[in-house]
Amino acid sequence: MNIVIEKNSYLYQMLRSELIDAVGPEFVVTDDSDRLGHAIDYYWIPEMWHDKGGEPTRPDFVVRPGDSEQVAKVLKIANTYKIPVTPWGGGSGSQGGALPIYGGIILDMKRMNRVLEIDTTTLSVTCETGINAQHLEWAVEKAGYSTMHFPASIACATIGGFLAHRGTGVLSTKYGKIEDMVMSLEVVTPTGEIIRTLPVPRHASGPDLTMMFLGSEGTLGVITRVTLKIHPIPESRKFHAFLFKDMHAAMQAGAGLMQSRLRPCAVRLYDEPETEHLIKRVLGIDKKGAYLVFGFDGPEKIVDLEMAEGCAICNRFDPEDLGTEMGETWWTNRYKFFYPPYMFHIPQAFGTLDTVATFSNIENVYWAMKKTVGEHFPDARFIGHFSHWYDWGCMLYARFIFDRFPEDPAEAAALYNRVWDLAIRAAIREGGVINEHHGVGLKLGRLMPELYGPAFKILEDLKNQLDPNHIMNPGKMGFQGVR
Amino acid sequence: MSQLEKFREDIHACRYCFMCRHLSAVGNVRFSEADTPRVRALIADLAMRNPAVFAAHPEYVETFYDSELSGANRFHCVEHYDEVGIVLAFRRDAIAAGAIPERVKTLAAELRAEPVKSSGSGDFIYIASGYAPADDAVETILKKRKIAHRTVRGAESAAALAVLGFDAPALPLDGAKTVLCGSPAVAWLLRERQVCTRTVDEWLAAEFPARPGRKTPAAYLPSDYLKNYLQSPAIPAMLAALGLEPVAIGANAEESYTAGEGAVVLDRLNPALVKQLALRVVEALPPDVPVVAGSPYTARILNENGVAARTTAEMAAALC
Repeated sequence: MNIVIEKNSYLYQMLRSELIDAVGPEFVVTDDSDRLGHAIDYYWIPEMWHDKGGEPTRPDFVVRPGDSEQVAKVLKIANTYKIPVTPWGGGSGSQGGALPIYGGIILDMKRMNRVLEIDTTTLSVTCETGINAQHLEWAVEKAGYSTMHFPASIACATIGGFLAHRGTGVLSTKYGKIEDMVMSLEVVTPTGEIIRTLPVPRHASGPDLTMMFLGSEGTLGVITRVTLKIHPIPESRKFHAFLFKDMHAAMQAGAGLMQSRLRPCAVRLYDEPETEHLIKRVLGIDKKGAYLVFGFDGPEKIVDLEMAEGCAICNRFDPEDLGTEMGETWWTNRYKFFYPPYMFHIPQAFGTLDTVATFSNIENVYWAMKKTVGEHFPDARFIGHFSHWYDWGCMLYARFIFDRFPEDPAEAAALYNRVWDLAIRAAIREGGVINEHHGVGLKLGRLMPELYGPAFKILEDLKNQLDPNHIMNPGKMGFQGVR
Repeated sequence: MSQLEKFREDIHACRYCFMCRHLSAVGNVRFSEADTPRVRALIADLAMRNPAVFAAHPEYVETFYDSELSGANRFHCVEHYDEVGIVLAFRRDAIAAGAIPERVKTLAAELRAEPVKSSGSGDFIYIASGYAPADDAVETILKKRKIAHRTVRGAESAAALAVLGFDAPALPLDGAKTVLCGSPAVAWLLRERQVCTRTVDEWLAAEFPARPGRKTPAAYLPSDYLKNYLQSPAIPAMLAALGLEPVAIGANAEESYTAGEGAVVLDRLNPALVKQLALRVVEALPPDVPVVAGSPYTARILNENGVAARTTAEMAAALC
């Protein structure tokens, strides 16, 4: 339900006038088309709702600020009237984090898209956070560098979206997740103060405010500006693929790669069902087993040495060597998995049970989730791959897919939510964390207290202190709605 | 059957897909969600299910008339889902439902009043673009090559009517052996009607040998029709014929740099939007090199916005 005033009321017009005064008349939008566009993101529930003919919750206003000062003005207005504000970057999040579930103001950040500085001495880029990630990458590449941030959503998401949800890219294993790439932030707090975090990411000057805002999903303020590390474009990047008899053997090889302290730029391991279906469908590699691909980049001599070592580690586990070509094929087609018709889509019900755990726990997490889905939802398929690897463990990109879901949207939503409740709890019991890079949003907010235990109160206290009226992205991440 | 129904698969592919967002030319200058293939498909989905949507939501219909129709998103898509086809189908269904925006109705009336005229004789037909510098250049080349020809004027209006969603009049092409189109939009329209045509760029590529000697650096803005609609392989040979070495524009080669060429008359329908699109192109242009446009529309718009852009026809005429 919308908690905001009726469109034909004078209060609505008062609010509209104040927003126009803050950002200019052409940047306060109330037309049906844009409001519809902001009512549905990449979360399955609003997609299903639309597909079934349901009316999604639309924002009352779409506001496009042009700078941090304008963001601050909008938040102050929203505090005055206690109007919800939901920041929106590209809208391509899968967790419902950008949905205006109470109506109110969508703060569409895309107008704040300037590249402010490319510092070729420090190797950093400073930009506004509404910039499309591909546009930023192109601008940095033009200067001879790269952000090395290559998520599947690069073409649609904004940098602010990645910061808000602690996003990651294909090359995370070497270059890190977005939080590893950040030097410093500018943030507009919920009450409208513009603050900057310290200019370097490593220091001993108290707790790290930068990390506090990263992943806060617009609930603790609006990240308006960021300085990110950039990198020289490597001389060489090479990939190699192997096929293992099962996922366990492939996991041992992948963990071995990481424990050797080689520095692959990417490692990806597909379980047997995903290898048999998705790898065959997208890459045309028709094999049974577990497909593992990895790559190295940098000076070619070093890449060749690392690749030889990496292959030697894999060969200890008796794989079929698929060679360089089947590795390069994966790299070339890495985004293809996410385009229609290759991506799962309605009439299927599907979701990514994104979790992360240590090497000691990750296989247990996989089997616990698979068992839970199999036992409780016999109509669902369960597939998975392990896609972001660390010294200590890796991320599991598990997915459940129903080929059909109940006609009644309420029943469909209930079924969908039940999968998450059971599967995520199974993961938590085995040492998994509910999300690695998609964020929490609306989808998983209810599970945050279970994940954190008593520590969740610290997050709630922080929220209460920074956002006393709870105007910022209310109802997300397990925080309560507008007061 | 509604026109949109023919695009059901494309609508369903696009309505929840964000993968081409970065190439939405209008979305990139307005920073809007509405002006993207995703949201247009969401709206088309609603209209396909319930034609009452056309009349109930005039803002939805307006959104479809702000599309630049560059085809860049479709070309980028792995499966090339036809987001351009969705827009054109929506327009035709909106017209059938009587939900035509007033500005579109007025423009259509103006276009119908612009007659199609033919002059000259011969089985070689040049269909003028309506942009005098480009048309004069083609006439110069034809004269120097002693090619007897007929010139058809006003065909751009026919292409515009088709793109707006109306029935376009037939063009007087009887007896033609060669049809050369000054406007790539008209070439596309005729090819949709199974008429064999050449655009000026394709003609230059086929008829003019590569120019020897040192190449001239230039910012070449390809026509969206050639690049994204027709995927014409002629561009490299045409540039060689003109002795041009293309210099990179902006930071990428994927987005449309035509300021709305695909919509044919976007400048008459929404001049403020075209100004925004033109400024984005101007910002992307490399400094200190000549600017050469593959479409007369783009050359005209850039000239109106302070850039001395020439068409490929003008470049070729200067070399003759």
